Amino acid sequence: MTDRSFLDIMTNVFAVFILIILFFILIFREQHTMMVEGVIVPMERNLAEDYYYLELVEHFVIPLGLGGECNEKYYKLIKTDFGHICVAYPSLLKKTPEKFNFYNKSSIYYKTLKGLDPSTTYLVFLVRPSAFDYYHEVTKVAKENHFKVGWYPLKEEEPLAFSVYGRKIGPQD
Amino acid sequence: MERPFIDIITGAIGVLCLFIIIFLLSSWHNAKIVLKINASTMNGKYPMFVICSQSKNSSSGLATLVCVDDYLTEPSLKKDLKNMCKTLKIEGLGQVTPEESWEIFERFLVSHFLKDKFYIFSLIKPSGVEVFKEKLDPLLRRLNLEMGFIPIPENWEFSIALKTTDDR
Repeated sequence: MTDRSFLDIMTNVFAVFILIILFFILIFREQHTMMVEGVIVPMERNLAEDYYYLELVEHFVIPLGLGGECNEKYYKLIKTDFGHICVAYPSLLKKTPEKFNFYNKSSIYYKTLKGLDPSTTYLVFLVRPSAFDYYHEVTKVAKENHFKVGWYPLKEEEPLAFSVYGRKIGPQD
Repeated sequence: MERPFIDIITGAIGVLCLFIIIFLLSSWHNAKIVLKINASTMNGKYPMFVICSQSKNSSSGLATLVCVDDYLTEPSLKKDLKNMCKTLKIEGLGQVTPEESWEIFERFLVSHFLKDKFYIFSLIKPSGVEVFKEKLDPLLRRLNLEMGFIPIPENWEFSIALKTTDDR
């Protein structure tokens, strides 16, 4: 009789345990849906001077600066006939990865957002293929901080070239 | 006599539960993320979605028209999209080169049939960056057409819907 009760209790405890696990699994599964508001406006807009550019590589966010000026802390500026090219210092992400890590709340990305005025500044993300998985999370934070955002894809090794003949990128919030 | 029976039942339940856990954990691990894209109408035009990706069989880039019409409300627009998909498929049945396919696509883009009703909304996968930057984007800019584009991670699923407010 004692053995049976013990087995019953064990079975019940086990079942409850399973139910709890199933509950958590289902809850976590729900979080894998992400909603994106794809309100898109025409691309050509004369707002270039208000654009603040950021480069996205994997889950790292590197600020380029207003109007595509190369932030001298992170990029070397090379002038060309029609504009300039920003070249990130080699081993920038290897030396201080946490500084640029999007998942680090004290990273340069969050500091940059705090230092900018969302009513006058648009954020333009230049996105490498390795960062596509993180783009929507990164821009969600910017939108929560009331920024309008735009983006443009870059190939993995493509240089960051800014030219007077370049493409204008409108906010796409 | 009762105890072995209970033992068997308990054991069976345990094994069954383990199977359920293993199944759920494996499906959870492999769960695909669904990106819900809400595209707006723009100046009265509806989005027509094009996926930029890479061909599985070769290294060439692909721009594929999305022929699912659930997001369109008007039957006439659904018909337009269906016709376009049908025509592109017929003309693209191995009878044309990729270059000719782009010419066909361009013809559609400049036709009044498309120009007055739709704008192109590109869904760009990491493998499709090249085809977007070198083919689709220059083409749409050359034709001075309105457009939208959004990045889609390679293995995420996505669903498209229409945001009906035309408030921009």
